[in-house]
Amino acid sequence: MDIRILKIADNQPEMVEIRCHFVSEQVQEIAAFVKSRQGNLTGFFENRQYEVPFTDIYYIEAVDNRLFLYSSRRVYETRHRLYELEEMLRKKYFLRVSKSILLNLLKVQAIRPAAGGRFTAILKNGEEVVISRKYVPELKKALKGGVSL
Amino acid sequence: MSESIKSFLVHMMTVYFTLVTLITAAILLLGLYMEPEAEFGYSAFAEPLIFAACGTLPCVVMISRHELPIKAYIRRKIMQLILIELLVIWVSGARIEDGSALQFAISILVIFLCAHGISWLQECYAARQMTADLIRLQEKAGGV
Repeated sequence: MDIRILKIADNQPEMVEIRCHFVSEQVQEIAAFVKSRQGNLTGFFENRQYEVPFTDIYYIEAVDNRLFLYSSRRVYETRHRLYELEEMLRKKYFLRVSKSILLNLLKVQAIRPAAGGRFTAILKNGEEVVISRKYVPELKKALKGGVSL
Repeated sequence: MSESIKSFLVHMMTVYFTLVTLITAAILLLGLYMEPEAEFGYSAFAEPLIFAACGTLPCVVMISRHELPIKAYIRRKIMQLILIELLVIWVSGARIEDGSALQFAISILVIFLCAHGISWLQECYAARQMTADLIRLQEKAGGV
């Protein structure tokens, strides 16, 4: 496998692109390593501990004083508090969209209006998350680049 | 003044001026149909402003410290409509006996639905804008 590193201008997004004939285990390992370098959160599933890359998390929800990470594969429980993660993950494009949900803006496909001045975020995996009316102005500002993410 | 009070007042003003426009249009259409030869003094221009105020005041039933679940939201909307109907019919002096109250009630319902339709279109536009901004943000971030 050849390796090429291409230096790009500051205004272009950094990315790792893997070109392969088929997605082998080796390719998946490389992708998982790159994701892990972008930061992880510790999550628990069936009493086992996992390191969940931020890039895999669609949203984080607080339910009954417990916090859950929703990824494409499964739902993990985490021991953090929502307000801690809100600050920690702000620069990773996570934004508070309701009293109990932190949403990964990079996992949102579209935004639709809903009743009562609310909006609904349609995620890339088809799930829908309600954006509370109170958090809509902050979301608009963040999307326009006004709030530092 | 807190942000929530400010945004509520802005919302009330938007509702008020939307209603002034819709009520003026309704008076024009109904008047042309029912009494095209009628003549009025300048005081007639106050009617849309007064009726719009009657239509805006019941918005206060929608005030809630916590976000309303859908069923509670619908119940309050129905309450708001009933209040608007009662207030406008009372202020206008329309009577049940001669059918004018029913005409007012139907007109109020149509205007209520049109106002919500306009509000929905505004929200659809806002959602489209947010989606476009979201896509730009994701491209800038090299989103996965």
